[in-house]
Amino acid sequence: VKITDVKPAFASLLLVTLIFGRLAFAEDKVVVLTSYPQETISLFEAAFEKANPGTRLEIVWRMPRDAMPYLLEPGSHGVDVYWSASTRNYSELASRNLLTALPADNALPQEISGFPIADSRLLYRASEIASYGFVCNRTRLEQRYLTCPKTWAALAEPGYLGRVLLPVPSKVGFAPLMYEIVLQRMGWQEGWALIGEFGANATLFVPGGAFITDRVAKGDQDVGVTIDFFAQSAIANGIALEFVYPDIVGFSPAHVAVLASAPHPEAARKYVDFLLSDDGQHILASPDIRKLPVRPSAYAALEPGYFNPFDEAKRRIVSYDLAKAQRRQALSSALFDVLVTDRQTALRDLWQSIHRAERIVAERGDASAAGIVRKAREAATWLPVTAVQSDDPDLQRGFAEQAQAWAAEVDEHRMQAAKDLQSLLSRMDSPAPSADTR
Amino acid sequence: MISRARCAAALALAVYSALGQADSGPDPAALSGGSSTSFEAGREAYGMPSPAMTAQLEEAFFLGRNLFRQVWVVAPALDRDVSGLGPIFNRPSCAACHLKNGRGRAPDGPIEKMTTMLVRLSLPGPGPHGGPLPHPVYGDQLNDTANPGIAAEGQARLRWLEHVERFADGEEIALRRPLVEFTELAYGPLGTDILISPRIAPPVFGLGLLEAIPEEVLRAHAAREKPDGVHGRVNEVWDAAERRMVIGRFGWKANVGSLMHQTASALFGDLGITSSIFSNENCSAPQSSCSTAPSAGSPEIEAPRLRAMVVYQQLLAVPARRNAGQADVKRGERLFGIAGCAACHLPELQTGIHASLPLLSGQRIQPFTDMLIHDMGEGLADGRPDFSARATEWRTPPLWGIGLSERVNGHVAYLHDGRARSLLEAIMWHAGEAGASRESVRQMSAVERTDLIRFLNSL
Repeated sequence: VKITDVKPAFASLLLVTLIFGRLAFAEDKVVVLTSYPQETISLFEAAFEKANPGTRLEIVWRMPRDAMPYLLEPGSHGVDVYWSASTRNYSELASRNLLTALPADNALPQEISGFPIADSRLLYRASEIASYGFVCNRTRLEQRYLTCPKTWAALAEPGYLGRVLLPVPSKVGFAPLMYEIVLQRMGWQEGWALIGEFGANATLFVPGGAFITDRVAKGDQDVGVTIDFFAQSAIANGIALEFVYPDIVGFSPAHVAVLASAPHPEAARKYVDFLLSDDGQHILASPDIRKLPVRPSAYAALEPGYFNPFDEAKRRIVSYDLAKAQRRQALSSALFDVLVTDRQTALRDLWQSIHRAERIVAERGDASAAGIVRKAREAATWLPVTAVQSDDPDLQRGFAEQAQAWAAEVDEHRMQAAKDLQSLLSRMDSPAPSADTR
Repeated sequence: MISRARCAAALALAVYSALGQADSGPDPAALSGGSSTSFEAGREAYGMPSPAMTAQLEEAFFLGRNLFRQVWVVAPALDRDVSGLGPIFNRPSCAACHLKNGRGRAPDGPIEKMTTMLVRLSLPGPGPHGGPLPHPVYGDQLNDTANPGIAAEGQARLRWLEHVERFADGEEIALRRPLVEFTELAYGPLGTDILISPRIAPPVFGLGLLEAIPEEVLRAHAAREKPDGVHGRVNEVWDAAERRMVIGRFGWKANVGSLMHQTASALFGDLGITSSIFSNENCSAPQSSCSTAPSAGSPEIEAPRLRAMVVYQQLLAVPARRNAGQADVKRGERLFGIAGCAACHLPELQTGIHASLPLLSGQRIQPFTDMLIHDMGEGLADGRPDFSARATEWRTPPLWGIGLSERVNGHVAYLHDGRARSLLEAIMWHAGEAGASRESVRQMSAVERTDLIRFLNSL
């Protein structure tokens, strides 16, 4: 046996090349400001540079709140492209004339069932969208003779008590817009009533430790309410979970725009073109991303069953007015804390009493008791802010002082309801007087 | 504490059984990481927490995970907790190189930039504490990226030279070796005496267990007589966290002694994040714009969060072996032994006492490494000594989990510079002390080679 080729070269060959070799790399670059996770960045970086040899992708990473001051400085620090999930930032940049229009493309829709995914002047447009739903541990649910819920209302069912992981909107970035789906579809009062009821049933989730998918996969809870791509990515990576898009869906777009001050406009255009091309859109289906393409033709190459919002929007109820949701986002998040987060134990006790009383009343057909229970339900779902007030710009801007008063009023209503129910239940639980008095 | 770890091992076996993968009964051979074995075999196989992890450790583990995946931000920034990137750096997050906690890869050619590997630099002669002597301008690695307004140090490009080797049955295999070319050097020439070593990112799971192997076990193995000219010795390295010389356990040349040092030095060298261990920004005197760039504070990552990042790596579970009982895998395992591979890729080790994480103590593990450095021949030599490791010497890399590498990372790239595109290529690069093993594999039939690879893929 002999080695048939030259003896392997040694390290010195590295040096020879270093000294005498000289490669010429005429490179352009595009500077992209983003808040995407590393997996997304790495996949697009590799694919873009492969498709555009000689054009280097440079990433500047900033969360949306940090991106705005950075972009608003003169010259925007040399950023060419802003690529992120923050509609508010894009509309502000557009209003300040800091963006340059993107080319029209008839194959890219402007909306999905009325939900806009592009700026009317094309100063920015969605590069992908996400939706929301329920991630489930089917094995655990089956052990409890349950299935993955398919409606928002199902989350309030007693069978799921403590088994649903629910994100707190003041702490979890994706959650405020998710609750708006329910609020806008059901209406302010009815929406909050349902959120309060399933909020009482749930285990609340705040970030900092395990992800929602981790906890559901581990079996800490059986159902997690989440933005879809976290769950879909975990599933695509082999984690034994199930994901259900519920009866009412909404979308959360991420956008792309070219800065008017872009130092590398040609490269910037190349990047946007790539992002929105079929090839770029297919990357969104990678197991580590699992977002929804905005180019309908991209779905043809994706696996069967991949959620297609353009088709699904025709079959499901699509909520909502994104601008309205964003205007009252802080207010709604604070209200969630007042109604649910800060008093969840008492809320849970109250709803358990309501459900128990409703069962008994239904069995016995007691009209006066039914009235008490109905009043208790009204008190449990009492809201300190009306729908009209929620659209008040002054209130949307500042409500810290009012929030304390809201909490006191909520407590007052709920305590009265709890008291009434306690009295009712103790009366109904007492054994009926015997006819035989001997 | 050890009994708790044993409970966890039992739990791991129970889960294994519940998954229906243990029809023939629990197989201890599957427990590669003892009680820290995960039976997840999908693309998250390298990312699972140890099943023995206690609830008290969850907070640190998940904080560490978040920080490991965090893309860091240029200072000044509102997100102060994660700002301080650069001014010069390689990648903006740990996960950028260790994607899904797995291994990096080398570019296919000079057009493609390095994204999951870097090039180490030094000058001849001993540096501080006997380690490599950093280049006075470029330091000990080329930082190919910089914050806006600051010049990156330059780019390293790879070209490949191929040659062909032939097995005894006539089948050929193409091997490639890299040539490194530097372009866009922003701070002057590197000089003719520069020493370079391109290195891909290694996987980061199971490291707590390797940290728990007693030093005396490694020294005893180094002293033991071995067949076919195999020796092996420990590298003695400076640990900046402990501020003393220790034995090397991590890094391609066993050039790092502890995970704390490894984590702090990677944050510093690869990302430009300062800590109490490496407290000054990574700028040399001639790099004036780097030196005057805004910092996010001193340090940019404080001790508790640095510690959490270490805990994360310590507690990442080792994937369980798969198909260990299969006939071809068993034949391959036997051939692995016959070829002498197990002299360095030790199939079994026992952890000692892990002072801070008792759950890692007393575990029987199957890392397939002796953690020693061995002369691997001129073909793999990088020409760059690292502490006592010579140019030809490399640490025996652990083989556990290697069969899931392609599934997790979507590519195959082995050896320190990612030159090997298959396990067989990696084997055929073995020389020096491992030359007899390579020749043994050369003599194998095609079926035997397939069995050998199936065994490796079962790890």
